[in-house]
Amino acid sequence: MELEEFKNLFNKHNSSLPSESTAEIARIIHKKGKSAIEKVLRNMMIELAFAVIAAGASLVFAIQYQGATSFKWFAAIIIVVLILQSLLFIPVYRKIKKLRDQQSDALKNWLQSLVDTVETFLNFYKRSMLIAIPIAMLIGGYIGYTVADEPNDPMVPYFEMAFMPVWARLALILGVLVGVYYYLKWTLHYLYGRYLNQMKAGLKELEG
Amino acid sequence: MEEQEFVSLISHHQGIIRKICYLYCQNHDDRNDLFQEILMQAWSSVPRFRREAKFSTWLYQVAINTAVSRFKKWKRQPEIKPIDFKLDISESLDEEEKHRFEIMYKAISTLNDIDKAIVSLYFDDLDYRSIGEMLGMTENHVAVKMNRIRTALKQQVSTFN
Repeated sequence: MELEEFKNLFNKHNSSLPSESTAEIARIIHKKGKSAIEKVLRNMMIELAFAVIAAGASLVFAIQYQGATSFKWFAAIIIVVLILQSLLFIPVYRKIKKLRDQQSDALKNWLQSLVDTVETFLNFYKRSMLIAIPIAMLIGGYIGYTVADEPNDPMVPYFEMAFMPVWARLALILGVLVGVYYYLKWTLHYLYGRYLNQMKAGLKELEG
Repeated sequence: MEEQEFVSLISHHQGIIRKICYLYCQNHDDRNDLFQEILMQAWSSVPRFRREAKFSTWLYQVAINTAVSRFKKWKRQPEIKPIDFKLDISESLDEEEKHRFEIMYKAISTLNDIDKAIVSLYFDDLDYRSIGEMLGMTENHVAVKMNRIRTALKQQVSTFN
């Protein structure tokens, strides 16, 4: 069968398909989407919501355990991260949302804008992570060093490492560092990277 | 545009969306998912619809953009989901024609998303220039792609036969 013949039969077939009622259409348009862009937007919101909850919880702990310097530091760090994250996420979220609503643009231009926006966001996010991990380790080390002298801090017994030899402590710290790095890398791919790859694949097909 | 007017226009032009869904998805559930996704995206994009353009052209653009950018979970296990294409025009076709139609449909389902977009626009008798404008390609590029598509489909059809 030639494509022309198929076209005629396909169009005939298409016209015989049952139609959705207007009530059903009205119901569908208010549902939540499952496209790659929707998932990127949804994951950004989930991350922000998670950061807000974490900041709230750490603040509650810091207030409840007034004598615990570690909780105060922890709450302060989480709140700073939340502020920085919001400053990064909110403008990007708005830009992606605006692009989502510009689906009437030519496919290539639209996909290119989307890929550029998500890719810039993701690269910046990755670079920030690479900087944040060693800073977090240094701050953690400083807190451990200063808090260790405070007998009233309830967190101190949980992080007692005196029984471990120095090489084991270093190995543990290095292990946590490497683990955190790969975990974050995987998380970013799961939340955004795989959707970005699909959009890029579409662009590549357009150029090929 | 008011919701009522939008719903009424979609109801009138839903064949466009159905056509895209049939070309992009080979089973009922995926087609329904894509149909819903296109409707949702059209509704969120409608404030940017300029009335001097034809609604059908605008809807085609939204439908294709959504189909290409949808999240394809099934790509990991394409062999698990069978093609369930039920022909509603079987009365007008004999068994041989029906078989050849299904083989061509299967061959089209092996094309990539951009080639499927070209085929779906070609099925609506759009010229290469208009197809290029919608996809962001030159007229020549569309012509080259269309030739490649025809060759690829012939090869696929002979493989399925």
